[in-house]
Amino acid sequence: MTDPAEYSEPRRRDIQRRLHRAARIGALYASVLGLVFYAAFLSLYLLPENAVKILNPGLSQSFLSPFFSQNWHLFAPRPPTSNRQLHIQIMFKEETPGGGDNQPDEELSRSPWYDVTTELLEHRWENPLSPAALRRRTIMGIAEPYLNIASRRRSDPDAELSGPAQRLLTNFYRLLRILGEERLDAGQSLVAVRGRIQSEPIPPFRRYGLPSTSDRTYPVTTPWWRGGPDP
Amino acid sequence: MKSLVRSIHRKAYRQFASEPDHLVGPALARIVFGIWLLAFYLQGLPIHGFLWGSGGPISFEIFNTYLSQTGKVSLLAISGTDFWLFALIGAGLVSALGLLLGLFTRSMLLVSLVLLWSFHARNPYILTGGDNVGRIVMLFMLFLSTNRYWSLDSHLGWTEERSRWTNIAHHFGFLAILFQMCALYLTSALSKATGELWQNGTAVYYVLRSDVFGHPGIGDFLASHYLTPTILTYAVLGLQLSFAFLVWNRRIRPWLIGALSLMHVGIAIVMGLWRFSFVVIGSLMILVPDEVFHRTATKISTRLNIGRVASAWGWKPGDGSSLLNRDIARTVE
Repeated sequence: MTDPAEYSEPRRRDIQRRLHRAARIGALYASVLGLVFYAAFLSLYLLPENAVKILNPGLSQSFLSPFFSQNWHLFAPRPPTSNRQLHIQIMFKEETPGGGDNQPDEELSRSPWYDVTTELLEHRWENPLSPAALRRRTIMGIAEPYLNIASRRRSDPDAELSGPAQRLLTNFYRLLRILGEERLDAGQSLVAVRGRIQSEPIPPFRRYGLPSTSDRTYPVTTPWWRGGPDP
Repeated sequence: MKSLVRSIHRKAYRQFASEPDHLVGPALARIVFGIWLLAFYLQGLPIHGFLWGSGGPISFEIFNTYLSQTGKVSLLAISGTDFWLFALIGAGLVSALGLLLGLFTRSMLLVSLVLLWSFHARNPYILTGGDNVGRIVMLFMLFLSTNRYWSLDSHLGWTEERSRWTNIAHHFGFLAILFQMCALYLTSALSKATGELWQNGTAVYYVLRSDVFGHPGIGDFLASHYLTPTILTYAVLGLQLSFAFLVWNRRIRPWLIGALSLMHVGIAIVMGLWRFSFVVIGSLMILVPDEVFHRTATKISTRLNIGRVASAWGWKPGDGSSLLNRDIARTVE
């Protein structure tokens, strides 16, 4: 009489083979489904405003943020039409024996305006691997959005700032303090610092008969920020 | 109907489970990403305190607030000390080197991705489009077999066994990257097409005349005549718009990728955006079929007589497992 165990081995192998094949097919369809979902949510996320995005604003955001968040505007719809620099001016005092902490402003010294970004840009063109490129990006990445906050405050001084705006303002004044302290000589201490964002329009293409798109030249100057805890 | 579904299913399964024919490109991309990551850490190292330290413009407290508000995570949130920052930069350098050399490739890729994500979250102001695309493509590269060529893993025999599972994963990663690149170029092109300066052909002029994005010598030269920026504006628009549609054709794909790569080389030289260009070119390499690389390698070795020179020096054709070895062997035969 045949041992039942002799039949179970090939049968077991056959079952295993079928299970593996089923698992592979499952993985295949899961991949295809995953791709379809990714494509759909990505399209929703990247497309301009449409009915689905307006009625369900969080739909694509919840799926893609933060790991797949992306922005491909890349000089679109409008490339930069002005060049911007950040200047800083510091108010400092000389550390003299017997000098009090509460010296009036008239006795404090003011530096000229320092351009903190143009030199970095020159270093960057000389050497693309220079850390100056990253430093400049950090400085202007914090300074440029300040323009939006400043204009919002001008139009509505009592408006409450959003969390990201408040955070940006803190970063900006902290940046000014760091840049100011770097300009001090030995024996000097920082009392206050302020910044100025200069914007110069790029010469327009108009000589070829096309309308000018230049921005107004304006410096935006921050109030003096006295050192101490972050604002 | 049933037979149609069955035939589609069989075709899809055969396609996904078959040996992938995009293995050289991912290996090249692995090397490119390794170099890119090494450069990222080395470039930031001299000013690490300003960029990522607690003494920089983004304080540790603000950083933690940012993480809680955006839902991002970062290893740098564990501690704000210099020691921890140095440790993570060191780990980043080691993982980037491992990626470049193709040693413990998948693990190094995962570690690199986690560290890159952490540093990006610590200072989002230095990020460019290249960092954005690099992060996403690296995530999908986890599914690809990137160590079949030019890697220590393959040299030491540590590559994973080829199976239908690895093939399915590879095809999934490949298609995800292909779709991502299509989305990138299509979105960029459509955004540009809505802009007045792109429509009237003057956009590249302003980019070239910008202090930040226009090379002081080359940018001014290219912007000096009205025709050059106009041609460049429409060429960029056309190339980006056509990518999403033409890339699906295997014959046109290498030419399209070649044209885009040239565009990105130009962007790197003229606009100084070498990090962005490097990463995008690396990502595009993934999409080039292996046969294109093999044909190109054969042509180069024939033109330069590499095979005859090599065999004159006593070189013998290898077992053909690596690119160029096999193609040189063909020219010697």
